[in-house]
Amino acid sequence: MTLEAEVSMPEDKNQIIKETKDRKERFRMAIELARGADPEKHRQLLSLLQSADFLEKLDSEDDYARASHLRVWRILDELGKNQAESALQALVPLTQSEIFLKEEARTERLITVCAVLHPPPPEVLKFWDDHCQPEDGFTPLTIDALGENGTEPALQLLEKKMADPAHSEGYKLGWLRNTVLVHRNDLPLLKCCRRMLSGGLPESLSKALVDVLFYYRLEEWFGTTPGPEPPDFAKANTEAKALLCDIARFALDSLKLTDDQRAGIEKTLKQIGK
Amino acid sequence: MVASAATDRRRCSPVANIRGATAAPPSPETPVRYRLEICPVYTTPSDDDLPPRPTWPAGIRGHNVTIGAVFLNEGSSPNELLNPAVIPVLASGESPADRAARFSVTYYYPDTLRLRDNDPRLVWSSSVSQGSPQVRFVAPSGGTAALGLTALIHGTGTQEGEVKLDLRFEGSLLASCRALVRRMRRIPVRVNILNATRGRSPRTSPRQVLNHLAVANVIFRQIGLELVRDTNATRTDGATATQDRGRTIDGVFRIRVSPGLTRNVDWSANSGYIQSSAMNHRPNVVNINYIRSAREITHRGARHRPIGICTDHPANRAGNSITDSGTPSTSWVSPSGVLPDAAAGTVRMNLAPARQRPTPANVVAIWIRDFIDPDDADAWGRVISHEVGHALGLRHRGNAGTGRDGVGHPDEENRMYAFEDTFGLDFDLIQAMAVIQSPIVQGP
Repeated sequence: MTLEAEVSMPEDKNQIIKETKDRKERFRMAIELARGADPEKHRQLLSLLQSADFLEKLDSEDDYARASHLRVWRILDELGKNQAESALQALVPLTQSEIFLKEEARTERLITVCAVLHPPPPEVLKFWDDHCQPEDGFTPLTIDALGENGTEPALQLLEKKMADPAHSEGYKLGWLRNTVLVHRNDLPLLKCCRRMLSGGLPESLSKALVDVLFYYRLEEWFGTTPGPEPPDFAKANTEAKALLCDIARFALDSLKLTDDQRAGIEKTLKQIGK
Repeated sequence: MVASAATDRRRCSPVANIRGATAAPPSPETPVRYRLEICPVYTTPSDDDLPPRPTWPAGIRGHNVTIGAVFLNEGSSPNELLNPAVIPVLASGESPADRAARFSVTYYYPDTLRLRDNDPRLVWSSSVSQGSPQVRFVAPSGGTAALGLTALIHGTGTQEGEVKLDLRFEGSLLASCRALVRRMRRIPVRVNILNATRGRSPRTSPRQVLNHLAVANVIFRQIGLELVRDTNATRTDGATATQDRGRTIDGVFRIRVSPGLTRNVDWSANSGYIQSSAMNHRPNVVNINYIRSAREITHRGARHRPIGICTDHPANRAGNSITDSGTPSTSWVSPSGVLPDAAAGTVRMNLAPARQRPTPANVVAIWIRDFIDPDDADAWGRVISHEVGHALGLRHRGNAGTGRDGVGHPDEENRMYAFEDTFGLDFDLIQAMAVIQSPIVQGP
């Protein structure tokens, strides 16, 4: 841009350029703070992320309306990737911050990023619980985060939600065919599945769970859309394979299955060499 | 290819020796040869994805007439897209200039010919291949022929069928293409914008919906279809009518819904038969619901968030598949019948089985999330046309994989390519043959 053009530019346009420059500068600074192992920097960043002024100047109203590539998302992602305990712990107070949670786009990302916390502290479990209410617009993200986290407390919350009659069976079917499906080789999740099957899950959902574990039907479940794909049984560890077999036998003995479902289970047992 | 076959096939081949009697591949002894192509896929694929061309003498090049991306908007001419599968029968009073089908040479050799519009060396003509349709060129020659690189043509009368368009250069037949002649079919649609009772909602306004539909209609015109807004004012699920400049917009509504019905919508719930897509629907009317966002899934190791999904559609009455054995082949699927490629074979396209919730009956439903600026009518129109394509029974274009149509060519240029935010705009001949057999087009 020439100086002449700059001089003749309307003030509001200059203001936009300045604001954009300031946003980039704030972002660069926040990313710097999110990286590294310095707890003091992480404390500073946490303080900024709880400041309405900083957040407003980091992403604009238009950015939130678009809700794609928000700078604050990348800052949260950076914290989540950081191996330093102080970086991960900086996520926890945000789950209680009214200012931070004011924008649903920030809340959504925080739900997802908190999946890296092993084990999730009580505040995070409460945050997930609060953001897993019927038709609240957050629930699918929270269910995914619980599966991704995969710790015992997170999976207990998943079980609690599966048993909660306030969530319809139709939604629970979606949770099974997404979250449970993609983690079906994970031992903690399989233990959770075993408990659900023997612990009063309605018969329709029990059968759906067995399908997810042993009898995957992409087109029937997802139509023409590229749906989630299950992991290869061959990649499951020995303990997980043993538990899969146990679940298979339980299903064959205890559930009223169709011939196709039985065949699906038998096929899986062969695949995993049992 | 044997000489006798070559002589016969030369009548509809896009390669010929202008002074010779055969279409044999060129040799150094016959250096002056000409080639015209009317590729039925638009935008035109890259040379690598087209039938093989003869090897030309070194130093002389061909000329790609139609290259580069095409972007549409609400002001685009209805006949913006070249070489459509359907030549529409125009009603009296419709302007042929922007309603007739536009055909164009897509490539010629050598580039020294410098062909142009209204070039008297190029003469287009038509002949009936099937049925008894009547067509008319928009040209000063009385409608039986047109001159130059491009030709405008439309159907007249009431009969439908298939025609072959021939293109001669200085009297020699150098290129041909096929098209169906049809009266336009109207598909009723209603659109609902699902606003959240709290938090953010889809950004699209009712006026922008009209722009999106306008672009979808430019795309659908290639196969003789038009989306028309439902004029039935019946409303359910708390839907409210919308207005533009004080006037009610037929067929476009807003509904206030719980956040979970418009944000991070779990499209895998209820086996995909989600409430969000069917709200305020009417039986057998394509219901297009705008939501704010949809949940992500993990697909092949990557996070993926569909832009839109057709959740409910009836079976196409053509059955599980449809075939076409015409020459040149649909979309120039190999072998295309375009010399020196081998004679066209039979192309089989798989169709999607019915996928409809048991109750209520006859739902035809689509949801689309707020994936891009609502002012980008080009992007929205492409997505709408893709999803309505599913509603009509079309599968994703592709050879392999669940839900593919088995045709495979071209992939990215076809509107039914699985990744719908790509640039493809084309619906081809076999797709045009299929969609007309959908109950949505024919009526229940």
